[in-house]
Amino acid sequence: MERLRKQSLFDCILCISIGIASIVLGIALGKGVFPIVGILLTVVLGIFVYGKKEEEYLDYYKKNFISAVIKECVPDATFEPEKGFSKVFINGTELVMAGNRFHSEDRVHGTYKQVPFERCDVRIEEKVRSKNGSYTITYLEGYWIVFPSNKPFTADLQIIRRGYKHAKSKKGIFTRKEERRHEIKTENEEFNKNFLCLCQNDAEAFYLLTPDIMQAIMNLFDVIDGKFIIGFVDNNVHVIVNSKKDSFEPTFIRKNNYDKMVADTKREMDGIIALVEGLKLSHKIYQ
Amino acid sequence: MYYAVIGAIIVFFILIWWIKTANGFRRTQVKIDEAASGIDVALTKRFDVLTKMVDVAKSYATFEKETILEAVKLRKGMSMQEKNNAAGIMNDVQREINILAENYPQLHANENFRQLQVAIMDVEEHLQGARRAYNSNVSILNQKAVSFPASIVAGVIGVSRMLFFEAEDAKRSDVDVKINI
Repeated sequence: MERLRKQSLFDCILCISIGIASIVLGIALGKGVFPIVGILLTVVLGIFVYGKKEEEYLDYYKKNFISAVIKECVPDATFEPEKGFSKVFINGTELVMAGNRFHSEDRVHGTYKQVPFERCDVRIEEKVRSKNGSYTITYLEGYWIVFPSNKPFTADLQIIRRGYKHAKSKKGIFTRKEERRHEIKTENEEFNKNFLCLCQNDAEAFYLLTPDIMQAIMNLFDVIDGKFIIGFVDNNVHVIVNSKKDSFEPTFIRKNNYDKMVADTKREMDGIIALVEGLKLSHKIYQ
Repeated sequence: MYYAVIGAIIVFFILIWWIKTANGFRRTQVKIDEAASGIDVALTKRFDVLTKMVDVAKSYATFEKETILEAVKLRKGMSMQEKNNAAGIMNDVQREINILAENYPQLHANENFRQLQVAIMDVEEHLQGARRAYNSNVSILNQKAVSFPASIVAGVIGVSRMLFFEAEDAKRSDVDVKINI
């Protein structure tokens, strides 16, 4: 794998060198068509030589290396790097603010203790244009996990880690009254201090958010890096982690620390296991 | 004139605050009523399931608590104290049924009884949810009702402190879901 990375890096440097050389040569030979030929040559080389090698490296890294680590943690899991959640599905949950840029990839799906799960990297951004130029606000950069809920429910419940600013709260007067979420306070002061709970129905929210579940959510601090939201929407449990990083992505420039990458991947999969265990999703007594 | 305008502005803001506070009390009271009706529904369901469990248990052993369960009269407009009492009696009955199930393996193995055990756990989680929702809103109302200056509004519109729906210690934690299915 390291050999593939070095080849990719070598091809990258080669493409850039040939490109610069051909542009310089083109300018030296005279104005007109020569510099354009140099630029075209760089682009062609970049796509066909470097691009191919990079793809080969990424393909090997994800489909063999990461996939094996995932299977080691959850044997019944499949990794599909090119697939992700649809924008319609994510925006439909109304848990995070919908931006005008959306990207999702690195889908891992499978079952743990007979609980199906689906996890994808998700990046949601808002590109804002103003008089002084444009800038981008990142609403979410991390991963999103969906489990079917073992408890049937009809109203939304949203548990937001305090400090995460881009949750869609549906509290405003422009939301239809029956869909509006309002804040509830639980009997657990520490939980209230760490999380903002918004729901559409108090009794159902407390039915879902039992004392053990609240404790399990607080225990997630140890296994999940970054601010997170837990949403109970449409009989699914959504766990959204704003880890501020793109999981399962290697670097080309310097030597990768593969041990750390294995540890990071395992930690993420442990998070899924902790969620199934902590949220008691494998208990099927309610159906 | 100057003082009159300032006075009018102050009165206006006090009026706005008064209306907002009074509406806040009313909203919390509505939420408490909703949660209380959730408790009623859950108690009724629990009573029904317990009655079925007693019926099944009776076919295996003599069940002495049947008469106690019959004494539970669930009706509309029960006070929180009455609901607490009814819930307490149901807890006793359920405890007895569980002891009986442990002593009579045939009863424990009965498919119908197992399904009722599963059903009662879900009903209890609903009851706990409704109870906690009720207590959460009662806590908010009670805190507001005793805090100055909101306590003045509470006194004028007739809002007073409310009783919590208490749960016995054993029911404060999650419902145990360890059933041999």
